[in-house]
Amino acid sequence: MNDYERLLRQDSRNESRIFWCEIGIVLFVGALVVAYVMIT
Amino acid sequence: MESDNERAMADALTIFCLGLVLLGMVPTAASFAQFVLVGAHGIWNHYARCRDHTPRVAFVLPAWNEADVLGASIDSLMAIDYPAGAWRIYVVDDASTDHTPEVMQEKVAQYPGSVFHLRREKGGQGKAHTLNHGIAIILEESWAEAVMIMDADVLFEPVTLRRMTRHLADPRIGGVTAYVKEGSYPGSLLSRFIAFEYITAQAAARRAQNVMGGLACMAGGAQLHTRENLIAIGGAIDTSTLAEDTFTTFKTQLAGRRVLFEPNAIVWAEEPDSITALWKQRVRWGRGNLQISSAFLDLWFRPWKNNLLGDLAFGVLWFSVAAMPLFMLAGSIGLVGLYLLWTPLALKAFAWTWGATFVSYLFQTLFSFAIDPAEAKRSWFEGLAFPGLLSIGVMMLALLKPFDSLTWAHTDYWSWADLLALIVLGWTAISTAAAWVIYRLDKAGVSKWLRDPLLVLFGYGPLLCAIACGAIVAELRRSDLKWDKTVKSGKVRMPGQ
Repeated sequence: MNDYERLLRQDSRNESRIFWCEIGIVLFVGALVVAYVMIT
Repeated sequence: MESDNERAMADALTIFCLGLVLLGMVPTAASFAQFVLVGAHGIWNHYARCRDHTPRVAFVLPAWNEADVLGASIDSLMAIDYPAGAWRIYVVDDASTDHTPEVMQEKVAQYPGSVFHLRREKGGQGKAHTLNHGIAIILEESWAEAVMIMDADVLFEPVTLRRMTRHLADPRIGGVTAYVKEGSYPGSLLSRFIAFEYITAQAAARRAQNVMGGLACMAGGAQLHTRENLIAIGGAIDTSTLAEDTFTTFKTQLAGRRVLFEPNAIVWAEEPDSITALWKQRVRWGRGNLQISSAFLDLWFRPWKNNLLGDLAFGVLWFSVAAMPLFMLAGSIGLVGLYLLWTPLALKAFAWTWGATFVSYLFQTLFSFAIDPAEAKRSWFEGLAFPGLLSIGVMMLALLKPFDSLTWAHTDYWSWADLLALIVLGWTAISTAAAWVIYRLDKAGVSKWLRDPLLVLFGYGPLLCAIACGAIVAELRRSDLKWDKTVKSGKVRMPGQ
């Protein structure tokens, strides 16, 4: 793998990481909202 | 009959106030929706079309009295990882009166054949004119295949240019912009607020715009164009507005080429270190955006004229930033008006709107930390305090609804509770006004020991809203279109330096 491919792979991985972070945060915030609605 | 009329009038006013409340939520909803799109950049991005492409690139640096920062910028550019001889630096010296010519003489000798000093004997016309002087000379020669428009203080990381040029292998791409990060060292509360703002306004928002198919603005600090694109948009930068970078972005897309944000290509810049300097810079940006709104008046919300710039979602996003204070003011007036007309409904609307604002704040703040963890490590506190600690308190009031159990509902007699309620309901407008007062205090020279705690209490977000308000007022009053340069002192550092 040359430098160009390594850089591209690294950046694609960073974008995937952000995608999965978003899923996690949406689930976390969503769970907080559901819990709040149930409590109130 | 008369009471029927009065009731009808009250109903109409109530509906009108509810409409204002909804209007007030537009910026929050637009920014939330934009953030939701960010993750999709992991799936819909341009990487599949990238190739190992290294065209000959001419960097154009406009410089007016930049002796303090120019040497470091040129050194950082000469140290980039790019094929030897495939990049040149053209510094356009806008009749500087400091030591810029001496610095350039030294750098031209140090990097012969790579660094060029273009001197304008009559300057002071602004960045766009200075850039055009350099672009005209570059386009006269056939050497450059791409042109990088940037600021004199910007530092490039070694692989930033490679990360940008790989997109130009796709002939549909006209321009690529980088992620401009705040790099002042040592930092201050204000510089960390700006650093966090740039995660949301660049790293997040521009990823979402990539997914949507086009950008609102390619950052003027690092704007890479293909030669063909520059020629297609007239071979020059627009000089009629204060937002030449945004104008160029619009023109590129209207000419049929795509523009991209490359989030992993990072450059470092020095941003204003006082609220007064920030106000000056951002009023210029805000006025520029308003001028663009007016210059492209026949495009907005008309997808049949241009499927990106005329798109409904793009228009809503654009105006939720350009006209943010108007939306915020509408929201505050709506809630206060409802309180006077129908108190229980006002309290319900308050709980819903501020509750939704809290959800949006929580999601965007946590996600911003995840998008740029390195920056979040430095500016996590500023991220949390972005809307202001008092605004977070108002969000808590909306969530905990303490007023539900109180008997301070609107009565015939005004009380302190009414006054408190009105302050809470009109908080958006009040915090914006307070941010303006903080700006005036900063301008009057108060100590940062007073200014900084006030900024944390009232928030950086309200300050941006106040600045947008200032831009609208300046534009309406048709104040001088002066190009106020942000003073740079050379304190920007790249990590590891």
